Amino acid sequence: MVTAVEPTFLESRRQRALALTTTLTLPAKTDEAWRRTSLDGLDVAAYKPVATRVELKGDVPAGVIFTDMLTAAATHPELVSRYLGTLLPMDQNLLTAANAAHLAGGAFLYVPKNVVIAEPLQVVYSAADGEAQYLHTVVVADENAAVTILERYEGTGEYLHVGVVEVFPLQGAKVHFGYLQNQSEDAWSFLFRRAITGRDASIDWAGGEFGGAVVRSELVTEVAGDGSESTIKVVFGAAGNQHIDLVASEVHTGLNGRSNILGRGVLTGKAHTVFRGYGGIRHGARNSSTYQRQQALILSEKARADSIPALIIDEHEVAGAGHASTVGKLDEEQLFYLMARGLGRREAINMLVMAFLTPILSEIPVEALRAEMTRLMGEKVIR
Amino acid sequence: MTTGSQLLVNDLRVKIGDKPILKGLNLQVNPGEIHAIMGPNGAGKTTLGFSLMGHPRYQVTGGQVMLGDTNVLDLEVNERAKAGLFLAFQYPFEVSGVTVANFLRQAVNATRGEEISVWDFQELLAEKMQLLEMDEAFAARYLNEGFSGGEKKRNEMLQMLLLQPKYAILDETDSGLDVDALKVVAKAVNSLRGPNFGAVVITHYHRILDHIKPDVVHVLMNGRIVKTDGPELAMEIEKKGYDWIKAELGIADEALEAQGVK
Repeated sequence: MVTAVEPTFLESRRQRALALTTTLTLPAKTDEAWRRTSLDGLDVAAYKPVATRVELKGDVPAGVIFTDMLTAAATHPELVSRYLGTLLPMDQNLLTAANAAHLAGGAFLYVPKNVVIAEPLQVVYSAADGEAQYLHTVVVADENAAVTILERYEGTGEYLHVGVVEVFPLQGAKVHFGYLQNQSEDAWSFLFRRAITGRDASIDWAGGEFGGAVVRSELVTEVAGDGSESTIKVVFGAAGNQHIDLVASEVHTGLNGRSNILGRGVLTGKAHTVFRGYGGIRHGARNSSTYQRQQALILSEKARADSIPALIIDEHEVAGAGHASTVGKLDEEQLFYLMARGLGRREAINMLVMAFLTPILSEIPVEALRAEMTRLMGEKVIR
Repeated sequence: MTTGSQLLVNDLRVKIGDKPILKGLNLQVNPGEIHAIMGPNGAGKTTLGFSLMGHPRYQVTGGQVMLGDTNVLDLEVNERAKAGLFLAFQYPFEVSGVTVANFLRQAVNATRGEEISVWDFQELLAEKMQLLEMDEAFAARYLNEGFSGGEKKRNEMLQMLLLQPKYAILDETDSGLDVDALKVVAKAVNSLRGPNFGAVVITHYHRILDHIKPDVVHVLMNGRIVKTDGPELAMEIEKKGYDWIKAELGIADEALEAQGVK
C-alpha cells in the first residue's frame, strides 16, 4: 500500500513504529485507564493491513489543502511532518504503534489564515471483514480560520479500525469536528483523538457513537492557548453485547480557558458503556473553567453504564468547575402516562428517549449530523 | 350511528403488592351519563382510575371491566385509550423535552389510528385551547414541566377534548383548583356531554358537582361502592360528611385507616 514516492520522514517514522510493535503490548486492564475494557480475544496480527477506503467530500477554496494523508505527506512533507504524531506519540501501546507502522491513509486538512469554510467537509471511512484499517486525520486551522469537518466510520463484518485524529486550531481559529461512529457490530474500533488550542482558538467536538463490538473512543483537548475554549459533546447508543468505552478529557494549561463536556447515552440489551470525563486545571492555568455533565438512560435490566467523572485542579485561581452525572432507568410512570394517551409502548419509549436526548442534540451544530444521530439512535435502541 | 357502549365494572378486585384495595367493586355507567364517585381518603378512589386504565402497579385479581363488548382488562394501556377510555390524572407526569403540541398530535394520531394533517391539528388545537382559555404559547412548552397545578389540570382537559373518549375518568381533577379553574374544567366536561360520552367524576368534595351535574352519585368506601343514589346524595355528604354512612352500614374506621392508600 506504500506509494513509491513516500517521503523520508514518513518512511523513517514507519521503521521506528515497526520496531515498537515488536516490544509494545495491547493496553491491559491493569492500566487504570483501561481497567473497564477487556481486549481479550483481540489478535492484531490476525487482521490484514489494507489500503484505506476513504472518501473526501466537499469543495474548498484555493489555498486549502484537503486530501488523503499519504498524498499530503508526499506533496507537503514539511507541513505534514510538523504536525503528524505530535499530539499522540506512537509509543502509547501496540495499537498506536501499529497505526504508525501501517498507516494506510486518512485525511489531511489545512485551512490558511483567515479562510472561513462555511460548508462542512466530510470524510468517510469504510472497512470490510478481516481488514485492519490504520488511519490518521490531521486538521490544521491557521490563524483566524474556521472550518467544520465531519468524519464517518462504517463497515461490514469483523475488522480492526485504529484511527488517530489530531486537530490544531491555531490562534483565533475555530474548528468544529463532528463524527459518526457506525462501525459494524463485529468490529474492534479504536479512535484516539487529540487537540491543542491556540490563543483565543476553539475546538468543538461533537460525536455520535453507535456501532462496534468493542469500542474505545478518546477525545482529549489540551486547552493551551490563553482565552481558548474546548467543548466535547458525545451522544451514544448501545445495544446487544456492545462495549463502548468513552474518554472525554479537557486539560487546561493556558490562562482564561473554558471547557465543557456533555455526554448522553441510551443503553439496551446487555450493552456496557464507560464514560470517563476528566477536567484538569494545571498549576498556572489561572482563571479557567471546566464543567462536565454525563447522563445515561437504561432501557433494559442487563445493560450497564459506568459514569466516571473526575476533576483534578492544581490551581488556586479557578473561574469555575463542576461535574454532574446520572444513570437512570426509563420512568415507568412517564411511560404509563404516554400510553394512557394512546401511544404504543415502542412509540412512548421512542418519545422518552428523544426527549432525553433533546438537550444534547440541540447543541449539535450541524443539522445533518443531528438528523443522523437521531436516526441511528432510533434504529439502535428502539426495537 | 348507534348510541355509545356501556361501561360495566363487575366485582373488580385489585391489589397493590399484597394489599387488597378494591374488594369487589361494581359500577355501571350508561352512555351519556355522568357519575360521581365520592369517598374518604383511602377508600380506593385513585386505585379505581389507575386500574381501569391499566397501570402496571395495580394488580387485578378478579372481576371484569367491559366497554361495550370489549373486555378492557385484556387490553394494553394504549389499547384502552384507543377503545375510548380516558383518565385525567390527579398528578400528571412531567416529560421534559416533549412539547405539548408534539405530544398531543402523536396522541391524536395514535388514538385515531390515522395521521391528522398538521393544518387540521393546529386548527383543532387552537379551538380547544380557546375553549379552555389557554394561551397559545402553552403548546410550545414541555409537557407539564413547570406547570402550575391549574395548568396541569387544564392540560389534562385539553387532552380529553382532543381525544374525545367514550368515557372519561376524572381522578380528583378538582383538587387544588380555584373556582375559575374549576369552571373551566366543568366547561370542558360539559362540552362533551351527549349520547356518546360518559364520565366518572372521582372526588372528595361536592364542589365540582355544582358545575358538573351528575346523574348518579356513588359512595366508595373500603374498596366497594357502598351507596348509590341521585345528585342529592352529594348534597347530603357535603352537609354531614361520611360518618353517618359508616354508621349506617357498620363500617369500622380502622378498616379505612389500615389501607393507608389514597
